[in-house]
Amino acid sequence: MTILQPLALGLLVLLPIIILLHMLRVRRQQLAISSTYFWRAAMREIREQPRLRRPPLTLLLLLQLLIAALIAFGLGRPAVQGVLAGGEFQASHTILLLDASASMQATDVAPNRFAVARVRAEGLLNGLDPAATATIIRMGVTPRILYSGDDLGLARAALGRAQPGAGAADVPEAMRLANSLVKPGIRNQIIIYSSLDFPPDAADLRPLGPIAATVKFEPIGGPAPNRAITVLSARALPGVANRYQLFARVSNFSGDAVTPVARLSADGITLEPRQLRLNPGAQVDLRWDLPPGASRVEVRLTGADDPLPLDDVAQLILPGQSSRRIALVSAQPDILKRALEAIPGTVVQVIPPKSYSADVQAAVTVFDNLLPDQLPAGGVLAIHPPAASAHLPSEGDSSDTKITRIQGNSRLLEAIDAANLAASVTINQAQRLKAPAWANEVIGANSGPLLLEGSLGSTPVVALTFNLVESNLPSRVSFPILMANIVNHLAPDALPTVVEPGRPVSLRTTAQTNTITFQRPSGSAERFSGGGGLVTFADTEEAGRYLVTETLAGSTTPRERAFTVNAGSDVESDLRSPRAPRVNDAPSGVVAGGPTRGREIWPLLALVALGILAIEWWVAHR
Amino acid sequence: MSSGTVLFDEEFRQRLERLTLLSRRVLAQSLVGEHRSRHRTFAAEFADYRSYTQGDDFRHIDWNIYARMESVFVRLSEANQDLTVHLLIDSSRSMEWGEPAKFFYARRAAAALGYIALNRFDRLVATAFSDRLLATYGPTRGRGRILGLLDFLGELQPGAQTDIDAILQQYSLRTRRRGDLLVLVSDLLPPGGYQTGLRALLERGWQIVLIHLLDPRELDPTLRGDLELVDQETDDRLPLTPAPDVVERYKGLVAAWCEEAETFCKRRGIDYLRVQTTWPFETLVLGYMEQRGLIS
Repeated sequence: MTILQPLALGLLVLLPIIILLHMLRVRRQQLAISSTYFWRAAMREIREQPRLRRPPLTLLLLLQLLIAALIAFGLGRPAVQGVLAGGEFQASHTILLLDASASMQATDVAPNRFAVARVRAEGLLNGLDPAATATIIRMGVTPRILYSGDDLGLARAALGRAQPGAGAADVPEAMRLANSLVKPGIRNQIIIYSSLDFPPDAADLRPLGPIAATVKFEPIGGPAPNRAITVLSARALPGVANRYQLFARVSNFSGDAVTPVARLSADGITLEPRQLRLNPGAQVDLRWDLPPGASRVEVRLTGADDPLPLDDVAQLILPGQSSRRIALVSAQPDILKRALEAIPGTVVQVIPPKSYSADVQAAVTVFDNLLPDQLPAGGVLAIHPPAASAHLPSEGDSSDTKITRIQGNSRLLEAIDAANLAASVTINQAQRLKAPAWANEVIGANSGPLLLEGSLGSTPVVALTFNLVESNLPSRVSFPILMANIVNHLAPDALPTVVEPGRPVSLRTTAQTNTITFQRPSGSAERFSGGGGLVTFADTEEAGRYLVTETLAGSTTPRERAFTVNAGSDVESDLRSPRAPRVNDAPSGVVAGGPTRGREIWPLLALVALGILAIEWWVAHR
Repeated sequence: MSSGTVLFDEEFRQRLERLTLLSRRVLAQSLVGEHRSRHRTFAAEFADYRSYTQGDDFRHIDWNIYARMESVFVRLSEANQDLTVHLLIDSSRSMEWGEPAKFFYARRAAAALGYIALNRFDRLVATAFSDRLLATYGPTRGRGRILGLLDFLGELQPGAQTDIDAILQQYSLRTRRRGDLLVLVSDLLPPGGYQTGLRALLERGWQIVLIHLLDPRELDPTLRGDLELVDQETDDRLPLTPAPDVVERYKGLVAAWCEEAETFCKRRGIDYLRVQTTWPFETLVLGYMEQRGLIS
């Protein structure tokens, strides 16, 4: 006999508890006698009855002990072997990997690949012995365990709730996760239900090393032709305010020429259908000049049906309405203005220092060679503040400005080669100062910090302690990146207009933010509370438009923004050549046959316990 | 158990026929019965001597004794005499307890004694009591009243609490003839309430036979587990988990109580019979006669 859940035997502690209860609380049976006179006299002469006494050996006590023991034993899930069990079987652990990538929504098999995979997986679960353990992993952009345990009913329920996404499947990560869940000493099998439309690098799982389980691929669907919008982007028309040019790429993933129609609509109004002709395996790039004020565009392919409608449509939110306003307070704004205007989704307003007032409304205010005592709302970039600045006082300028210290992992230096920056940037003069308590040094020299970041109260502040014209930094490739990083750091709430499936979206809330709600294209929503923290929404595997609603303290009108997720991609839309991942052919450590485990007998024990419970009830009430 | 048919079946009656009631008798004024008595009187069959007193019949003076001792003695002899038997049956609620119930056994015992008395032409009075005197059967005489006696006993029902002292004192005031026999059938519960009543009977010249009924489980209880004892008669309740020492003490107290009753009776010339309800009633009757020295 095997106890599958030994921890449940801890419930045997109920036995002494029951005995103790019987010792403390006596249930007396009434008995008529001819006279209590002599009994009372005998007790009076001997002693009073003690409260705690030897446990009475009653039928009721025995029945209750038996019931508690049966329950504890049953929850321990004992299993017996041999004839009593009606046969033996091997303990096993089955790990199901369910491909939830966009290609699994292809309808080349009815109703679609994902539904077929789910049915097959459920069929496999139904065929497992009731005592087998199962794990279900949703293989999406981020592999996730949907269920792991021995309740196959719950496993089926988790399977029923699984939905496909619009992104790619991270196969190596899913296999790594599955391999980590392999149970030692028993038979393990990993079964992958997938369309097998993996990119070549993801299909080679040999670098993962040996998989301690039998790996089996269950291909869903076959090679199928498809056409898709694989790219959709927009750029501002140079020299024209609030005008954008739309760029779309349409690909033909089939062996035949196709002639779809690309229909463009802006804010729900169809603008211009274009008849396309795509040769086998070819792609075509399309450009549209969007009308002024357009905020939301959609491109849709129509014509002959294909098996993956999901990638026949792509949406884009234009950055116009969600742009960040940057106030540049500078007497010589040219260098900074160019760098700031190059940041997508920003509008730069130049303010002469004499015209500056503290009530300026901007996401970021850049102070060039000045820094007022009263800071405006939003982030502040201070460049070469005066020596007498209240927030960043200095001891004058210094020429000992060679970069000696760089915090390479700072967010301000993201995508910047720190070593190259240190070697290539020269600064003639910088302020001699010590980093104040509210700031951390990012780049430093012997003269003191060159780049600082911190917060003054609730205002995020970044400071450059040198005059840009006194350095060659503006001419470096890293300068626009640095400025973009600084602006994104100071005003991080700007949403991207389009997000790759499964990629997280982060928003920094302000003190005025009450809640932020992310509404998925399907209509379901997730709400976060504000208060100044960073909010990250990671569930972006659904294709379509996501609505972000921010409620602010003191305002009855919520702030609404949006971003889109498009499914089309060169990998997921190409359904022509499924390829099974390659794993190590002879995995070491695979247990061909684990120890035998018999039939579980807890239902029998439960039945017996129920019967005894009925007897106990009868005995207690007779 | 209390129905007449079950109480006195045919087998029971046949067993009664085989018994004979022997009792002491005193001389009756007129009727002469079939029972021998220890009371001495003048008769042909010599029993004893006593000094002559004024008024004695000269014919009973033993002149031989006078010749030898120069004192006048008269001859006394045993004589058959008519006897009135009073059956006093405890019908309290404590008598209802036992297996068989003491009340059931008491009625059978009373039936046996009454049957024999009537069969031998003795006069019989049967009375049930609890907290007061209940129904009475008799006085009556003759075999023809046997069925009436059995019906009377069969219809008796146990009553309330008993007060033996009060009942016996009340009964002692009843008209009786000297030497009448009173047979008290009782469990003497609740303890301690019978001695005054017996003394009152003795002072009035009653011959008394006390049949003390006990269920074997009263002497040797077999209680187990956690109990709430309910007094059958007083409804008193007592929680009890019978530990061995408590049980032993109980047995000691009951034995002392029985011993006290027996001693009390012996010292006062009361015939005391301790009877367990599991015994055959013939044992009771034979025990009774042996107790009284009528059979060996």
